[in-house]
Amino acid sequence: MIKKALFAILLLAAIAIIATNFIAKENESTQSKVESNQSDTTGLTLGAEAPDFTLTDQNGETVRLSDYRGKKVILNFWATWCPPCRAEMPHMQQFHENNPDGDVEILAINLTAQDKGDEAIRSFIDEVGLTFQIPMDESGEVAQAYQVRTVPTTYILNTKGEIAQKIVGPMDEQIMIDQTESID
Amino acid sequence: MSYVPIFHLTIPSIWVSVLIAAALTSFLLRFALKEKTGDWLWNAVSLYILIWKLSYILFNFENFLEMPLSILYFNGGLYGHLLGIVLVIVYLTVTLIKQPKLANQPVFAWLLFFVSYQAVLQIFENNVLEAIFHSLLLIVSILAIRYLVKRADVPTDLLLAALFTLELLIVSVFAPLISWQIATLVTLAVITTFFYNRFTQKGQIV
Repeated sequence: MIKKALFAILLLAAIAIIATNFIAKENESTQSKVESNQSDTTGLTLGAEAPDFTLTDQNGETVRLSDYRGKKVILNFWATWCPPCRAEMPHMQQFHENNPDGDVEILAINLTAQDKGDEAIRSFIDEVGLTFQIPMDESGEVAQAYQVRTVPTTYILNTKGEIAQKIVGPMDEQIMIDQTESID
Repeated sequence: MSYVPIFHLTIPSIWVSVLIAAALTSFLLRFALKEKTGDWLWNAVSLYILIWKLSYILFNFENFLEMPLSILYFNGGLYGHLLGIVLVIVYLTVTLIKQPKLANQPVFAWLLFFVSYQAVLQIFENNVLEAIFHSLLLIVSILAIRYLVKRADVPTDLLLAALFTLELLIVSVFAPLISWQIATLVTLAVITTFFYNRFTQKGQIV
């Protein structure tokens, strides 16, 4: 008796799995439409538009966040005196090199106001061979706007410039891949 | 993917869920089987975590040489996970061949572990409805194991297959069904069930 019941449960559940997987696919398109309508104001909560800023990077080029609309952005905050930041940087470089299409932009904002001086920053960049953009937050205003209290802190932005995730602590290449692939 | 803030770090909630689920499994298995959970469970969990964490050195050797401290922050990722699972399987095989009596525990443990893992994880992810479904199935599974396992007319593999299919149904309603997690689980299910059936046939499990 129980044996028959178990068989029935097994069979019904298996049929239901097949059914839900087909229905789920049809629903997906409507779901994403609902989400995209919830465009928000500027802020630091998930789904809000990331605050804009303009800084100068390590090559003297101007970096404005809003210029990167249409691309996913890994917005990282770091300093040379922070061991987990140093450990994270080679992974970030690897991710950058393995993403030649450039649909994900890395902006690794250096907390220049709190760092150990221009020379220390440059020698670290050269030592690890970092080639992505490193905007220098010389006044500390951007770090303050993003409420960065511990480094590394990373905001993952979608193509609309909205905050999709905030990660405190170092990320490896796989986390960067997972995080950027899971968003629009 | 959600994160749990612990001190100044954010830890992916899946890893916190793994630890909580392992602790829960140890406790629930004892209730379901009316016997003490063996050391094998924590040995397997520790072995897995150690391999998963340390395999970072293997897969990121250059990064590790440059910054040995990075082992504190990173892990072996998917390859580390697969390596960890392979070694856990080797460990279980060796242990069960030595002590066939133990085989009745892992065969239920993987199911209880996965269902409690899902329940805890969905609480972290704030998916209340999904968490409730997993929790209900967890209760059903524990009671089913406790009251049906000794009955001769209820084949253990059928019982486990029915419960596991129900769990897959819950998972598939909320997320893609095909994943490394599910693949891992099916592998563990097949291997532990193989040992269980073999030792039962030989009369080594009462």
